[in-house]
Amino acid sequence: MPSANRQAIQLLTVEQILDYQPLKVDPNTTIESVVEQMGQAAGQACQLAEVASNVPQPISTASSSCALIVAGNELLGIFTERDLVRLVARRMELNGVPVAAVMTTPVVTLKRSEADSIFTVLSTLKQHRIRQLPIVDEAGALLGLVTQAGIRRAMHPFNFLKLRSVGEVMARNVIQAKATENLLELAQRMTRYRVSCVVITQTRHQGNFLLEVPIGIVTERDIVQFQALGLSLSQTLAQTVMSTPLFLVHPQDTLWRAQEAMQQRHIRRLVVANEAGGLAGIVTQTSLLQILDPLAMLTDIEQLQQLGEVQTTRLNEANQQLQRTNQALQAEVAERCRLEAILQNAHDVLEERVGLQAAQIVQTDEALQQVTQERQRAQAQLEQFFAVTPSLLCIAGLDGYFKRLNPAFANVLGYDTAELLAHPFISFVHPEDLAATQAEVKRLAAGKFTIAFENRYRCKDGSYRWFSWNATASLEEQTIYAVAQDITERKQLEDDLKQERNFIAAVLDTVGALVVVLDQTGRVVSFNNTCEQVSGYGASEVQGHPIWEVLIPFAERAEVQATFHQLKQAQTPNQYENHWRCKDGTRRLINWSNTVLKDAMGIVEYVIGTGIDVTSQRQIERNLAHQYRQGHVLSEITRKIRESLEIEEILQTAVTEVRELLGCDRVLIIECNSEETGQVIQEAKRSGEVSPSLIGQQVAGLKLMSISAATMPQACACEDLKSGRCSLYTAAFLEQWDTQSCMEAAIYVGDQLWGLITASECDRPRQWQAFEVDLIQQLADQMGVAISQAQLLNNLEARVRRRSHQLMQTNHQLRQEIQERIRIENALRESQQKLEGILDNADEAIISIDHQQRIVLYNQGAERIFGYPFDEVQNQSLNILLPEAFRQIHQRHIRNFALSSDTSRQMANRRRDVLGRRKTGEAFPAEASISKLHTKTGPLFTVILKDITEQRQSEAALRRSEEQLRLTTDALPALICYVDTQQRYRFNNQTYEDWFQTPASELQGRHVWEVMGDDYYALVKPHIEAVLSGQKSSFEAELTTPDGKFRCLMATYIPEMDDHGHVKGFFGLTNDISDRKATERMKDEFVSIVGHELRTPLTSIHGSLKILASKKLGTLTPQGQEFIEISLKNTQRLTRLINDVLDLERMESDRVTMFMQICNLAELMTQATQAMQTMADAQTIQIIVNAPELTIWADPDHIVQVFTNLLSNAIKFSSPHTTVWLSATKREADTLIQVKDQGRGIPPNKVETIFERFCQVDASDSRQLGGTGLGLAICKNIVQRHGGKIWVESTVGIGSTFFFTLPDGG
Amino acid sequence: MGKNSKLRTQNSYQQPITKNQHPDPAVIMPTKRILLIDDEVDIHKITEVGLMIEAGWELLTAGSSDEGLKLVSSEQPDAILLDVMMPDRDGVATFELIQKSPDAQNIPVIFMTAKAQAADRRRFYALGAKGVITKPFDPMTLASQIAGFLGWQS
Repeated sequence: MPSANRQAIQLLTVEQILDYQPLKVDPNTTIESVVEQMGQAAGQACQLAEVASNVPQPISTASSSCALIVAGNELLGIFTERDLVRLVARRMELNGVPVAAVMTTPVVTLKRSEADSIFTVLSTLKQHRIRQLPIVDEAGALLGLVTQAGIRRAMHPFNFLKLRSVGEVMARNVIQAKATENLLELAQRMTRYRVSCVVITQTRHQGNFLLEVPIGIVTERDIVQFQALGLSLSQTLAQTVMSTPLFLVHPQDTLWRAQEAMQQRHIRRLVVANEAGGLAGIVTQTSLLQILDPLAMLTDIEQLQQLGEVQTTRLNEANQQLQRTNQALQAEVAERCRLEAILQNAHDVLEERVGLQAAQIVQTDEALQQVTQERQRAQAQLEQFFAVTPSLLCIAGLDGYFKRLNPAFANVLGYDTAELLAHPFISFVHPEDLAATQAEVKRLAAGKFTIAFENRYRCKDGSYRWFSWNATASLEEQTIYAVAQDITERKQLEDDLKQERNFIAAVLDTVGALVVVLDQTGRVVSFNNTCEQVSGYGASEVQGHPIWEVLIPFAERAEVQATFHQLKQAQTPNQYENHWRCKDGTRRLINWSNTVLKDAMGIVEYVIGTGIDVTSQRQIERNLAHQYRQGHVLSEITRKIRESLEIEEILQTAVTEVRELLGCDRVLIIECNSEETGQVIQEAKRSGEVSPSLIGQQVAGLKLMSISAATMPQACACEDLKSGRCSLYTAAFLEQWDTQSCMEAAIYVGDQLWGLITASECDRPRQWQAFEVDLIQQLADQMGVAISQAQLLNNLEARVRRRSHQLMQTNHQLRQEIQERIRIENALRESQQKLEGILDNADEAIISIDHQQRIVLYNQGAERIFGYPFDEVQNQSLNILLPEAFRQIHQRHIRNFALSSDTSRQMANRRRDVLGRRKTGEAFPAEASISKLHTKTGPLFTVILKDITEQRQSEAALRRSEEQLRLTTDALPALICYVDTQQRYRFNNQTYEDWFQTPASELQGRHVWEVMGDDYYALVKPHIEAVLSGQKSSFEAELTTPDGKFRCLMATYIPEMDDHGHVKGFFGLTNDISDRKATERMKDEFVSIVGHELRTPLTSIHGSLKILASKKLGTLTPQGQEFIEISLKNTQRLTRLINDVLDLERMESDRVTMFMQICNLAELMTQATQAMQTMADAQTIQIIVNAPELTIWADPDHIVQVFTNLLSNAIKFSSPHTTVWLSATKREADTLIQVKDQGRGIPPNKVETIFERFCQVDASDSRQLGGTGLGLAICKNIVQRHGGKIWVESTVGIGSTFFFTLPDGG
Repeated sequence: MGKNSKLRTQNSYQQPITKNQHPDPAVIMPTKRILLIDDEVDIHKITEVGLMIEAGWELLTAGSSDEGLKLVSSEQPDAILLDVMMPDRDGVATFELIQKSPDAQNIPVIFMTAKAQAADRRRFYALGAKGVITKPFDPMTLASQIAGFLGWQS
């Protein structure tokens, strides 16, 4: 089947698309004429194109888009629409010009013999980007013309156009123009972009977008026609001539539709619009023909065939499926027939069952009749029972009348049944029971039951009988069913019993004791009058309730229940006591004795308790005991207070003990400051009391002036401060602090009021007892006594302390005085020793002379300087120590000095030194000063003299040295100066003077800024500041000198420090490096140009060699090929060499910036290894990488360069089938990287030099192995610029390991 | 039809290229027009031959920046190969002018340079270059390199 499909697709033959009669013109035909003919031919197109049939139709020149220029049978040239548009666009004058002048020649043609299929034609059109192709015979004679339009029209049957969409082939770059542009502009645009049409668009707003909407089109052919019509293109606007409206297609339309549209409308292009109506592209014949690309078409055909096969397979499958369905249907028909037979059977069975059911119903009916008879019998029996029962049975209506009564009613009440039925039953009820009975009837009517309801019915003889009723009502029937018992006799007995009880109760009530009778469960049965009086509860309130629930305080309940349990067991306990909680909340203490009543079985039936209220008796006992205790405590407190002499302790003890004794909330002691105010100084609170502490609180408004020693008041108390009647001094204060009840007493020390003690309750009134008031008064008195004792003691102690303190101070002062004196004495002694030492050891001569200028004191220094021992000069005239010429002057000086008011002066004048004379007679220069001291024996002159012979000598040496230095520095070309901390020049050399054109005399002492000027000073100021802070500073600066020269300077400032590390000034050394800079710049430019100029010819050589080596241009001899390879290898090496030289040069001149960042070391190692893998594989060398996950601070590109250089070396110098290792280790402060090989190794004498440029182990290596000799130098430079080190360890014949480190950073 | 001329009709490189001759994937790429702007005429020739043999691509050439800028606008090539060092205007300045031109700014530009430093490459990419080809280059793999930069292989 696939083969059948394949045959079905017929490809077009060349004959089918060949136009045998193209427009042919003579070379001399004018262009207007040619254009006219093309235009006419175009005009006929529609008419001719409609002549279509199944027979291959020779394509006419119907739509002639070109003219062929022919002379005889020879094809000279071609003139196309596009050529015309181009000429128009250039505004070329066309009138009278023969077409031969503008035609295109020679023409691309195709021989008929070569045009074996439409694909050859299409390929030629595409290859030359033309739209018309003349076909010629072997002799070159024109056979016909193939055009794109012709092919498109002829390919009508190719259904696969339906498989492609417009969007696939449309041109998206559409040349657009506005409707207002003129045709000349359009023609120029067509020419510029080499397109055959321009789409006229209009901008529309679509929501927020601007949309270019196509409204018309102008084609090359239009231009041809307008030209033929003689229109002025520059004055014709597009909108007036454009083809409009447009037939639009959409990107998703099939090409088939586009083809059909072109065919129907005789047009060659269609504008494509998107869904919004905007311009999406354009489909032209070229687009349609694109799909005739042979490759693409073959693919399409194969796809179609595959599709056909798939469809056939699916059809077969569907057919089989249908057959299977048919079989299934037949099976279902058979199944349905079988089911029908089964249904018929079921119907018969059902009919049989209906018969059986009918018979059963008859039987049931008979049974029912029997049941009815049974029931009637039972009814009769019930009636009989109703008549004979002694109980009163009745049925009454909710309307209040009896409906039916049994004979018992008539028997009991003495009425006829008819009489009872005739009146409302309520009329027989005792008047006292009437309300209860009516209420009970209402309850029944509400659907409730009546159980044991009692009332009285009147008998015919006027007496009443008690009935006890049980009843229920049927609300549906509005009927009450009731049964009554005559309980008149029982009622009589109960009344008698009640009377008896009342009698007993009356007896019990008259008894003065409490009598309570409890039943077995502890419920109160009897509660006599006394009980009611004591408890405040009425008997009815407690009767029926367990005694403990009502009267016993919760805390005692368990105990009372236990006692009751004992009584029930007939174990009568002795007397016992418990409390009753009375109705008013008070408690009473009752003393009980009990007896029990037992029933016939001996089981306790009632418990009778007889009690006496002992509350008051116990209270009195307690009060007595309390008073006793208070008396005891008072004496105890008094004892404690008296025992202590510390006021603080006395007061603390007092408040604590009083509070505990009185059991009150708070006890305070207030010390009075004046008659009005006081301060709380001691406090005791009930533990757990949350109120704030009052210690330190100021108490105001005491109003104590009324108190005097004579009228010492007694303690007084106030039960409730809120009552307002209170005369306490502290009342106002205490009320502020939530006090409700209080008691106070005054404390006197001697006759003086000292303070107050108060006891208070916070939140309740208190009836202070008289003994409590007495107690606090007595305590206040005791405290007064104790305080006065303590005060006395305190006064004594304070006086003793003051006196001791004074004594200690005096003692201390005396001691200090003694120490000071010892210190001064020592200092004096030391000073004296020092002076003696100085005198003896001083280098200076110290000589004292008396008023007669005789030597009286002469130290060892003088002996050394003058050469005379002391005994030789003692009492000699001073002249002995002076040169003769100097003696007169000197004596005169001393005399003048003796008369002057000065006490000391220098002895030398400005011009000359003092001269001394040694024992040897030698005179020597000296510095001397003289002082005078008036003693008892007259004035004493002391001369201090220093031999300055050596100083003078060294000064001379220094001057010589300075002169030499000056000569040396002046000879230097550098600018040298020394500047002090005030930035003033202290030294400069000749070059400095020359540079600034200022003599040294003017430079010395001037400020740097004055000499340099504003601009230069601004440059150097920060460096001067740096060097004056002690840092050496080097910098380069560029400036223009006053005479307009541009100079570049390099300066170094070095600080000079004194012995303490303080900066004294700095040396400035400045070089003019303008020439060096210029050289550097020239070198940079040279390197840059060399880099480019060397690489450019290299690029051409390398490229040419590559092309030759590819053999695409022909094959060389094997020898030729070999030379090509050699040339290629060497150009590559030359390239590497240039790159490396430039790299190294740039690095060494510091013009490469390292872009430092945090990098993943493993990634960089992997990257380098991958780059080197091909090289390694070529030499069968294995690279093993141990890349730990580390981060480093590095420039990744340069570190990869180091890796690749080292790996490349390792591979180059290794034998095949060996291994190269690349690994890294993190160390303390850096990362160590190793590249290890098993190569031939490096001799020890080369290990050091191998990192230098062009230094290889063997000079021939670089040539043999293609290296440049610069790789390791580059590596070293990169590693050093990272702050790391690089080195190699190697053993000849074993291998080498290159190491380098990268310090941690970032 | 002005181009329907003697251009390349007798060009010996213009052999029909079949799959058997060129297993290189670049061959099946659609025809492209590349513009080379370089002042070195020899490099024009080498590039033209390389692109044609490898991929059958058409090369337009310009010997200066000015000429190149004109061709960029009028010819609308598929890609531009731009030399960096040129006498009249260097590649970077030329690139900036291309970027400013509305009808050329979308055409991808690949720099061709003898400056192989990583810093230079970074600078070109930062400017917006689609690729950087280092001179000397292999003309026989140039088309694949370009296609790789511009994602044309798929």
